[in-house]
Amino acid sequence: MPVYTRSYRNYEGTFRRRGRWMLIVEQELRILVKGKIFQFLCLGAFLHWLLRLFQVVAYDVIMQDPNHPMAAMLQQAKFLTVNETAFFDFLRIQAPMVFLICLLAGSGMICNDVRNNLMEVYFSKPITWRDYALGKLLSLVFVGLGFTALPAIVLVVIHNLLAPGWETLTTTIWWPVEIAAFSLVIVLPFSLGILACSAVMQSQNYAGITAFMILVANGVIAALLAGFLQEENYLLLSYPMSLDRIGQAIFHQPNPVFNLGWGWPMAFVAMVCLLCSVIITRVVRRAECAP
Amino acid sequence: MSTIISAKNVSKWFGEVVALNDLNVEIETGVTGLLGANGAGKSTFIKLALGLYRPSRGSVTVFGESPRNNAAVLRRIGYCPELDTFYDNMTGYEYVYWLSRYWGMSAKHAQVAAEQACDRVGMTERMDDPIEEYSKGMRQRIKIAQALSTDPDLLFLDEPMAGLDPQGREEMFSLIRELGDNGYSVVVSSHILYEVERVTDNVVLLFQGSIMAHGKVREIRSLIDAHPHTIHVDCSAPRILATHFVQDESVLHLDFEGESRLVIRTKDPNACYARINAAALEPDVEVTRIHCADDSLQAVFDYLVK
Amino acid sequence: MALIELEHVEVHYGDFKALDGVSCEIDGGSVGLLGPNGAGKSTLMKTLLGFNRASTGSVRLLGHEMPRGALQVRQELGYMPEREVVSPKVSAVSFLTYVGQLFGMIRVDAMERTHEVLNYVGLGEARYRKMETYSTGMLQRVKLAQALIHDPKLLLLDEPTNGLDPDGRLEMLDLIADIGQRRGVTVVLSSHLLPDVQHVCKRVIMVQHGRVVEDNSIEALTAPRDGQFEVQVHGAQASFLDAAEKLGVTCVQQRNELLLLQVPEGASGEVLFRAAQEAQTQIRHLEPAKSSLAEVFMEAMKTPPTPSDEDAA
Repeated sequence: MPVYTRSYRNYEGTFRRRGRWMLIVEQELRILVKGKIFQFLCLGAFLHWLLRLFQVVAYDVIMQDPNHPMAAMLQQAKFLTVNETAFFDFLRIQAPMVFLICLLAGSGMICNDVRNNLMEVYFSKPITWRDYALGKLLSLVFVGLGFTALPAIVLVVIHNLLAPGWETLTTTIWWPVEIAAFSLVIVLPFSLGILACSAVMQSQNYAGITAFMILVANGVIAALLAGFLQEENYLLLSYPMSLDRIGQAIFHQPNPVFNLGWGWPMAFVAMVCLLCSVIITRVVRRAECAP
Repeated sequence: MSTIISAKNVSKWFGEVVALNDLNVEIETGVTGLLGANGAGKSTFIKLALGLYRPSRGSVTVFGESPRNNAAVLRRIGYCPELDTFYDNMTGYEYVYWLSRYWGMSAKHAQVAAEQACDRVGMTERMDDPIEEYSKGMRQRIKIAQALSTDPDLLFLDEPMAGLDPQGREEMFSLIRELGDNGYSVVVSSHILYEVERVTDNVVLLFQGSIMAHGKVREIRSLIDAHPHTIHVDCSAPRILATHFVQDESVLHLDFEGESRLVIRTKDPNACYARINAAALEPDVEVTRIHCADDSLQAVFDYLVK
Repeated sequence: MALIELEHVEVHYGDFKALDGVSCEIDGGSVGLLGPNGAGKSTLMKTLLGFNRASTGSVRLLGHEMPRGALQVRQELGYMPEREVVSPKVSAVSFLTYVGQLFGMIRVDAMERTHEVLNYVGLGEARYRKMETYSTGMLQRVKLAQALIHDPKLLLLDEPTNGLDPDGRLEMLDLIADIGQRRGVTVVLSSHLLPDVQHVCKRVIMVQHGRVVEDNSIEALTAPRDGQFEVQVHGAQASFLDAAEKLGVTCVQQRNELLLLQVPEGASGEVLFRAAQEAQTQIRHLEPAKSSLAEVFMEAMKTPPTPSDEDAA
């Protein structure tokens, strides 16, 4: 048996060549879940979901059972109905939490790497700038979807289980699609936006503050414009309002916030996504060749 | 040679961490090297001398007075810190100029002083460029310029050579030696011992918050008699040479390195050298190299620390 | 086919020519990369890593044409950057496992290698603490570890002893020397500390104004000068010099106690010992005079820029 000197041995294992972005996603998530604030926000989101669960149970089980003592009382509460509006509301209320999560998780993602000189470490490894950017983005998207699409679709499934039948199925068959679509519209631009701020700003705090202020300023300016000019269509320029409008279109809600077709707000959202993608790509590619 | 910095029974602790433990030292004019591992207390000592900290016990005086909140003393001190933080959008010249103004110089005087200081460190060409465009070496020079611009009697240089290329290092060595020769006092703190040796003979060695040794390197070495001296001899016939030493009781160790080197560890270097010189005159032994491995600062440091 | 082959490589940053016709071949051993700031050292390193595209000439590493083959090359290359690297919220073990996986190792393999490599670089129990608590020395070791974890054939080190205290410096240099000699890894070390380079490397490449001004083994460059010796005697320096002159020795230079003496044609150092005996003193230091690497470097740096540089400037 050979005697090993006190030195490291040659590596005789294998190297795999699969998409490294998955690895970056895993690592980011691993770091994220350790944070106390993240855990707190998760709790908040979970509580909201729990309330919705009660709503589903209340509607499907209690209100349908004429013998149940609470049935009569609950019949008065129309808002407990489980329909598209309920899910639209759920996602709307989760949206700010998603924004906060993205802010928390994402504002440091790129700028901290730059500050800690990890870019040189990343790009002296066999990964491409696409792996890096995609990994960072997808970690935020997965978290975001975990707060929106995932719990909502689970509720749909529970609803179907509690009120089984062909009728429920046909009513709810498109809901998961609508939920997924609206969730994506909420999560993707937020993720791209925060990452873009992180790429451009020097520090995590500045990136977070910038993202937050842009959103606030945008909402305020659009509201002021619409108010002064007495034209509610100007609300299109407010990002949160545009999101709302898209959601209302997807979930077939009456009384939209402004009359323009949903094509306009979609274009707005798409433009935001495009702009942020360009910014992120430029910064990451520049870091790849940094002096 | 007068005493510039005097520390008497100085201790400094931060909570439970004792950075300096009953330190007694007197640093004199000229260039002094301040040495020690990370955490030995070097920066704490410098900060105490700058009046940035108050001693937990004991006293530190600079130019005979306590430096804390003492404008008269602080005016005579220049400090080049190790940390590399600047107002990045300022130009190098502005940085030195404004620090000189802040020190108390008039606008005209500061202008001249800043230009001269930049010239001294070789930054005249780039002094009007913003600091964020500077390389590490240039930032280092601007730091030194800032310390020099007020023409201080005492300079603290913390790792002054960091980031400089070999030419820059040589220039820095000459600058420090020149300052020492011209009557300034310079305290240089550095990890790179062979570079400290280039600028001065006088060193203060700190270890875990206490002084281990203070004085000229050679003297320190000669005081550590307990440690045997290691002498390398390259010659044509090391084994024949070795026969001269085998019977000498002050020789503790004989090592053969390669084909032509004899390494002798001895308690009595005097006798050893005498034997080597005598042996070199013999026909069968041709001595090409004699080298005492202990004279370097690194060796002294190793002995004392380990 | 050498490990690294550069042929007439030119690299431009906009209008500025950072590398101007660099040609060299590296095939094993430890090579020091020296040069003043702004000479093109970092550009050269970045080109080797595939970050820069050469506008003319060819760059081949490990048989791959760069920068096209950058991904494959990085699989077998380890890079230790100059600036401090830290991942504050994770431990060294966690960080290095991640890096190992970035190289394509599976998690279990990466974890095992992490511990092996951390043992090698000398990071003990601290490896389980968060990296934000580490001292400079520890972070340097982690930096070295992340360059070694995948067992590279080529190691690029940029100022590896930055910020280390005297003990740490020596340990780092010994580690690097060990890697180069025993592990058979080709090491390219870029540093401003010439004695460090002498300690570790056998060959140096000196760069200035984007060009290679010297490319030779250290031994060849610092060859001893014939018949010249550095001498130090114990006291009685004046009488020693007198006695030496009578025997035909000339004093080339005198700096305090250090004498630079030239023995007559055909004589050996013995004549110096005779002079010492004559003057009743001892020679305590004798060294065949040779140029130090620093002197060679300064000499090489005096090469003036060629007209093409002045055009660009």
